Formats: sequence, structure tokens, C-alpha cells
Amino acid sequence: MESTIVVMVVFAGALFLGLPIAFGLIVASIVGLMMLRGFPVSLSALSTMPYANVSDIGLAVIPLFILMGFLASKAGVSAKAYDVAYRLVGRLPGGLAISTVFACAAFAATSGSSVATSAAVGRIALSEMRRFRYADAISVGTVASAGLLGIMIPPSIMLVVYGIITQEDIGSLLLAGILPGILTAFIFCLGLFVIALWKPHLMPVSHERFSWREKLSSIRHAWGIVLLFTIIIGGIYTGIFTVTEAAGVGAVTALILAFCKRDVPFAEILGGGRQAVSATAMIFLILIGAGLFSQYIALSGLATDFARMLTATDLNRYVILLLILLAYIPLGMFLEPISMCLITLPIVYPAVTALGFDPIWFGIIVVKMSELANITPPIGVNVFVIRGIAPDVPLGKVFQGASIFLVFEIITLAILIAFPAIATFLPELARQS
Amino acid sequence: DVKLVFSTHVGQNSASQQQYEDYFRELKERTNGYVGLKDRFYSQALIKATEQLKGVGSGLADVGYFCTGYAPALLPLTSMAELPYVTEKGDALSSAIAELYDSYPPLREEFHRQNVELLAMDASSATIIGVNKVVNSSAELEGMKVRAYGDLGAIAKANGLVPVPMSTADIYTSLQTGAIDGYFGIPLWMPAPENWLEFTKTLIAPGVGTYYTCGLAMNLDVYKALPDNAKNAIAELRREFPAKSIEVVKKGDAASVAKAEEMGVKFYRFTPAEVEQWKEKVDYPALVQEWIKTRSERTDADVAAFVKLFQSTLAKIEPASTYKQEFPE
Amino acid sequence: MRKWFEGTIVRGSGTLGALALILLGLVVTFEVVLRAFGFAIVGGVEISAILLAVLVFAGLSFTQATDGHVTMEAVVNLTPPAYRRASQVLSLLICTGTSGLMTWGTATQAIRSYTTKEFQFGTTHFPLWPTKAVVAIGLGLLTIMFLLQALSAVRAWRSRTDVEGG
Ligand code: NA
Ligand code: NA
Repeated sequence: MESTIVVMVVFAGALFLGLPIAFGLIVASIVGLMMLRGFPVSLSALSTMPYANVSDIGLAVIPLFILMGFLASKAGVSAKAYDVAYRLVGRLPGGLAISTVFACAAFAATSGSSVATSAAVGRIALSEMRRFRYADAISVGTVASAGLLGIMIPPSIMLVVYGIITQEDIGSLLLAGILPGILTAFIFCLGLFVIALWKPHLMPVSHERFSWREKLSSIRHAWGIVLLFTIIIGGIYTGIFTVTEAAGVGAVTALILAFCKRDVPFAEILGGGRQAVSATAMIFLILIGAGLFSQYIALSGLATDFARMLTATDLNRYVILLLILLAYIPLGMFLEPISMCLITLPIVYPAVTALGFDPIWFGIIVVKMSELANITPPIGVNVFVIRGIAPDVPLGKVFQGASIFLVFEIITLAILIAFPAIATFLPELARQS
Repeated sequence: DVKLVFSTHVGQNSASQQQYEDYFRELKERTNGYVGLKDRFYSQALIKATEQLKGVGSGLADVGYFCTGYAPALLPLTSMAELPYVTEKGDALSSAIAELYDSYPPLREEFHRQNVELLAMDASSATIIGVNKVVNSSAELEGMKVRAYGDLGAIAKANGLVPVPMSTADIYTSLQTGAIDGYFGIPLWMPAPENWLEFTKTLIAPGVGTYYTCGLAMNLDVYKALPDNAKNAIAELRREFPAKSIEVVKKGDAASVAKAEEMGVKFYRFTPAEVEQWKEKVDYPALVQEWIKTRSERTDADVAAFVKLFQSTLAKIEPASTYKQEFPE
Repeated sequence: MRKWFEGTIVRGSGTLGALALILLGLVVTFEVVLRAFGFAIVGGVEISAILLAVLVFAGLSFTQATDGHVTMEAVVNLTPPAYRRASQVLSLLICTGTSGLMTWGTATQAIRSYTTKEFQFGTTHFPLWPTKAVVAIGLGLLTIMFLLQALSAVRAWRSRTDVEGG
């Protein structure tokens, strides 16, 4: 307990001093691990974590999708796609942001990670929404948050992790994610629409009118993005490649498209590569810090003690559920979602199911809490991905944009708690057939 | 009394973890409650699979589960027990290691070099292959993409399969999308709880034998600080553990077989000729020499001598084994 | 010194990272294409792993030089401007120390990996030390970058001028 206070003070002090967030986490974790298990253990954790974090080749999706986005922009693929979207839905309040949510939802159906989804769609969408004078907070908030659909709409790394920890049927869990994923996308679109009506200057609508003929004929200009998405989505669904491999194939496809557009010099492609590398290095350093920090949190027993205490009370089961969910918010602020679930679920899951809650439904709720964790400050990996793609946007602005979606997320969460059938309907249907 | 931090990379409810829940209960009883657990971390919550042994050695956790496959260079002698085509009887294999740990000092020394004491060695289950089509001979496996790592990948490749290396965590989605047609290098108890049976048409016993060696290790400083009666209890349990472990494995295997039968999965056991053919294609004697060579570069101990000793110890213990890979014929 | 280091070493490692990233995409695609024709290439995963390490760790110093490691700007802006320059010096020194400690720790790991001939459990007996060496070298360059920025910050603090970066 006393180590936790020291660690929090060190972390806050580091942020006030202006240390990079990653180093704030690393310094706080060194101190925490030292207090719990001594300096040699702390040093050993510090020595092994950098390699351990980069040795997971599955993480290659992050740089590859970011590179794909940069190259697709250079090839003019993204601009054309948004020109088409502008003609089709430009007169609809919030139309381009809503299109971005659709793009993320489509991409989420192939990718199991929210970071990969934000990375893949983010760069393409962001500069285009800005080109059409959407407010920065809306643009960055949309790409940071719509990426969250990646872990709800199957496939989903989080649902697989939940299934592995709890031994629940992974197939059922993935089925259960479909409707909540669609619901989330719907609430995001509705919310954007309402904001666009309420504050039109944030998302200016088109004053140009396009005839249906113009609209339809413009679609052929979008062939680049259609090709890119067909290769990625088609390749994954036909089993030609895995999601990690799709990121590589996507990057190479975008590279070829950039080469085909004759006026993109190699130096510019290399520049795009350097920007992708810079974003990746920033994200991985934070992941290293987050890895150390979660080792500290695990060993401190803080999360487990708290979960044990909560689950041992005999309050109304909905009150306990609410308290558990409330506890996930501060945990999610500091921990990366997979670590958060690994540390807490072995205690929380048996307690929640003992209270009579549906385990498949609870999996969906846990994914929602993981989504929140990805966009809440100070450690929100999705937010960092977007900040890496758009280094000129202040971090505060990205969190501000994401906070709008936090409201949408909480509304969605309330609906899922009120109507558990949204999650359990499809798996039950599958079981009966 | 001492309260230990435990770390494992496997799930809380997996067959391999259940054995260790029993182990710690037993250890606590035999030390009159002196040695117990404080916190348990499953599924890599504290330490990544590849770093487990180092994490225990450095003291990040006090006790932890490790697989030599993740760190073959750190335990060159022990990792020789992962050689394919040695035995199907996992209890005999782990008993042999436990016996040599006490009688053959170089084996114990390689654990001590990692600053850990070996507490127990799992009884592993013989490796199977699962594929998404009906198969009635080894030849029908040709051209199939199967998840396989290491030298099992080499065996698969030599026999016309396409090995795709990936962690077990990625198998489910890869089967779902068709990125792989099946999996190799998996214990029989695993396909049911991992839900791979959904995509499995045939479970195959290729006669490759046990292929993984995993166990429980304790930080050496923690071990040395224990009183003698606790150390004695640990030594006793190390000898007794394989026989208990194999019972859990058998239960898990039976559950997997029952679920597979219920789902209409076919079973196929390689004929002795097919087993021999696979062994020949991969040039088994050369493989063994290669293993001895790579390990010899990493230890001063005489690896070839150890292999001989290991095999003679195994031959002595094998008849007492209670294990047989039960396939419905 | 700082100009030279940033202009050559740091920029060079940024370019190296970019090339590693593009190569990673090509290796992965090549593997997919070959597999579609029923061939398996040995070592693809291991090559990808080392390329990932190169692009991340070569990128660390480049990212610091271009101010890419995110800080909580909103929180920093709450502190009084008078202390800002002193806190920048302190912050960069803490980063230098921490990064130095990580360099030392990961270098020890890399050397141990080399001497024990550590290898990966994969389709080939692929050595791990080159990847671990990349990790240590990348962190080493980051440490030097932090140190040079700290020295600039000290100089600026003394002469009371503003510094860019860091
Ligand atoms: Na998804
Ligand atoms: Na967060």
C-alpha cells in the first residue's frame, strides 16, 4: 500500500517535470518493484522487458498498418476515397466522421486489435477529415475511438484472452461480440450526427450539390481503397494470410500503389517509413513501461486485494457489479487492457458468475471496459497511436476528442447491462441450432 | 512461514495448472502449513512465457512454471528430453529426470546456474496432430498447412506438410480463417478446452512421442532459506510427482477424446510402418547428432553421455508406467 | 557535437528503421506468396523478429530527436514557467540515467545471450544475441541523445535562452 502511494507520487512528479510518459512509467515501476522485491529484481525486470516486448512478432501489425496508412496517403488513395465519401454523404451532418466509423467497423471485422484498426484507418481518415475542415478534436477522437470496434466486432484479441483465462467457449464469445459491436458503431454514428446538428461548425457540411450520376460515376475513383481493403479483408477471410501477415501485404500493396503513381519519389516513401518508425518507437516504449508497471501492480497485490474485498461483500449483485466496473476505470487508466484482464479476471470472473451473471455477457462487458482503458488518460494506447500518426496535434486534444466518445461508450455500456440479450442472443441461437 | 509468489504462462484451468494446484496443497500439508502461496499469476500475467525461468531465477517470482522449449540454451541437458521419438510415456520421462536430478550432478548444476531449484517435472502427454479433413493414411496429410514449431516443423516438412510456426494462442483464429489446416506438437488434452475440435475432422497419433518438457522451479535463494524438513518434502514430492501428474493428464486426454467422439471427429493412429517412414524421411540419427552438437556447444557436461544415461534410466522406469495414449480404434 | 550526432547517427538510424520496416513488409508478403504455392520458407519468423527489433530500437533516438516521445503537455503547462527550464534539465537528466540503466541491463542480457549461445525455439537454431544486441544499441543511442539534449538544456539554462527539443 505504501509503495503504491510512492509510485503514484513518482509517476505524477515525472509527468509534471515533463518526462515522456513512457519514462514516467519506467521510473515509477523501478521504484515500486524495488520497494516490493529489492533493487536486483527491479533491475532484472528492467533488463528483460525491452526485448520481451519486441519479441512478440504479432506486434508487427502496428508499424505495418501505420506504414500502409502513410503510403496510401502518398499514393493519393485516401484523398480519392474521401472525395467520393464527400460526394456521397457530404451533405449529411457529420457524414465524413460517420463514414470513418463505417470504415473502422469494416476493418474491425478483419482485425482483432483496436490499435491495429486505429493505425490502419487513422492516417487515411485523419488528414482527409481535416482537409474538409472538420474540427481536430472530432477528427482525432473519431479515429482513436472508432478503432475500439476492433476488439468488439470479431475477431477479437480481447475476447480470445477472456476465453483463455476463463475457459469460456471462444466461439460463443466471438459470436456474442457481433451485436454489441454493431450497437457501438450505431451509437457512435448517432452521437456524431447529433453533435453535427448541435454544433455545425465542428463538422461543416457540403454546400455543393452532386447529381446521382455524378455520385455514382465518382465511385470508380475510389478503386485504390477498394483494392486495398479487398486484398486485406478478402485475404484474411479466405485464409490466405493471418492478420499479422495482412498488415505486411497491405503495406506492400500501398507501396506498389505509391510507386505506380509516378510523382512519388523514393525519398518521400522513406520519409513515410521514418514517420511510421517514429510512431512505432514511441508506442513500443510506452508498452515497455506499461509492461513494467503491470508487473508492479501485479506484485503489489493492489488489484487482487481490491477485487477480493469487493467480491467478499454481500451487497446487491448489481451494486457489486457496478463497484467492479467502477474499479476497472482507474485500473484501465494506467494499465494496458490485456494486463488488466490477466491480473484481475482470475478473481473477478468466478465471483461475478457466482452472483448469477452470464459469463459470456460478462466477457462483452469486460471488452467494453478494455475499450475505455484504451482511450482514458494517462495511458491510452489508441490515443498514442493517433498522436503518433498526427504529431502536430497536442496529446490533450486527442484525449479531449476521445472523451466525447467516452460518453457514447458509457451509454452503450448501460444499454448492454440493461439488455444482456444483445450479447447472449446470437450464441444462444447458435447453441440451439 | 513463507508465502510465495507463483507465476505461470498457462491458464488457471488448464490440465497442467491443475497438477500444480494439487502440488502446492500437498506441499503445504507436508510442511505443516509452512510453505504456502501468497499470489498466483496465470496466463503470463506477471512474466512472459519465454522469460519464466529467468523471472524465477532473478526473484521476480518465487516459484514458477517453465518449459525448456522456451529456453533450450539455458537447460541444455534437460532439453534433450524433448527429443522426438524417445517415448510415449510422459510419466516415465519425468521420473527419469527426477531421478537423475538427484543422482547426476551436472543436471542439478544446470538448474543451479539459472539460480533455480527444480521442484517437479510434468508428465507430458504424447504429441498428436489434428487436421480439418478426414484422413486415413499418413500420405493424405501431404500439402496440409499445420501449425508446428522447431524440429516437429522439420519432421512435418520432410514428410510433405507445410509447417506454419505460431503460438498456441493464435491457433483458434488461424483454424477459423483457414490460415492453417491443422496443428502438430500439441498434447491430446488440449484441443477440447481450446475449442479447436470445432475445426477438427481427424485426430492423429503420429507416434512421435512426448515432445515438451515443462516443470516447476523455485528461486534458489528462496529454496536455500527453507528449513530442512521443507527441503526434504520438496525432494520427496519431486520423485512422487510424475505418477500424480500422469493421472491428471489421463483425465484430460480422456475428456478430449470423449468430446471429440461426441463431435464426430475421426481418429487415426499411424501404422508402425508409417511411423518408421516419417522417422526415416527426417533422417532421425542425423537429427539426434545435431541436437547433441547444439547442446554440447552450450554446456561443459558430456551431452552424449547424458543421453545414454537418460535412455537407460528411462528403459528401467518405462515398464512401470501406467500411461497409454488411448485412442478409440 | 549534438548537431553532428543528430544529423548523421540519429537520422541514419531513423532511415535504417524505415528500411527495416519496408523490408519487414516485403518478407511477410514473400512468405505469404510462397506459402500460397505450397512452399514454406525457413526462418521467415526469425528474420521478421529481428527486423521488428531494428525498426523499434533504431527508431528510439530518432523519435526523441524529433520530439516524438509523448509527454503530458497539459500537465507540464500547469507548472510555473519560471521553473520550466530547471525542470527540463532535471527531466532530461532523469531520462539519461534511466535510459543508461536500461542500456546497461539490456547489454548485459545481450552479452549473456552471446556467451551462452542462446537460440530461439523455431524452425532453425537461430541465435538470439543479434536481436538482443539491437535492443541494447538502440537504447544506448537514446541515452546519448538524452545526454546531449540535457547538456544543451544546461547551457540554455545558464544563458537563459530557450532550447528547442527535449
Ligand atoms: Na475485430
Ligand atoms: Na487508459
